[in-house]
Amino acid sequence: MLTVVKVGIAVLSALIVMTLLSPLLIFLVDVITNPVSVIQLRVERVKYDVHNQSAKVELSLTYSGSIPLTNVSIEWLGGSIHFDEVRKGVYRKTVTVSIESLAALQELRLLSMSFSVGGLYPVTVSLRKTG
Amino acid sequence: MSTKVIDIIKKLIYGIVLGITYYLLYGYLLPTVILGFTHAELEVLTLRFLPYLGLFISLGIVEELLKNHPISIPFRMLTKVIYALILVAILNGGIISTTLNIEPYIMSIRINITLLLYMIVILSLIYGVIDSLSIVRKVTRS
Repeated sequence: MLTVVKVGIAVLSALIVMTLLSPLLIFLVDVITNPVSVIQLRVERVKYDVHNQSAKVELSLTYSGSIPLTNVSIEWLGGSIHFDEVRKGVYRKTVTVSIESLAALQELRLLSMSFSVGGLYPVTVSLRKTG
Repeated sequence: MSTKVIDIIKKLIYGIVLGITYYLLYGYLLPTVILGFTHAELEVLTLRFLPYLGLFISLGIVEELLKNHPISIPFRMLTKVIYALILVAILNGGIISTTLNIEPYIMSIRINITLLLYMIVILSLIYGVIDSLSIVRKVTRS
């Protein structure tokens, strides 16, 4: 009887581990098959405010992965944006940034992104331009 | 050769097989599945943690030699947790970092899988408790 319970626990454990692991594996497959465009941040429109040395920037975040991302934060030199949840699709947000910050954003000089894969696995990605 | 010596040799061999089996599960199979596609880094990790194989085999042998002794009840529970904690050590406490070079950028990625590892430790403990119960039955019968 206990042997049956032991085998049952082992099988159940394997199923739980695989179920917990599947969002991360699917996300990794998405990233590996499409590393450049799985998450894309673009500057869509810029409206300069010469008086305040700032600019109103419309940013679009495109996500093509199949696992939802939660608590998505994107930070760059002098600015940041946050999305509670991101699923497959395009998300737009308008932010006001300084002129220097806009230059860093357009060139993607130093960018860091944090999110949670399926609400289970926190991920931090930092992008640094070489040269 | 007396039957007692043959019995001890059998237990030693079974203990070695048990240790290797648990090592393959916790030291190789689970890290392979968890790390998935970063296989190159895994090879380095597995080689670095190969000395743990000796620990797994030693625990397996002790587990077998003490099989019908009451001390093996907490020992069996403990070994399963130790195996799971070795897996946690192999996977850097659940923080997996890697760096990708996508010209002209350097991308550093850090993934936190502690939740999954906690679950494996808990499941291992539950399995250890069930495993110990079979020894409780054997000890109370004899």
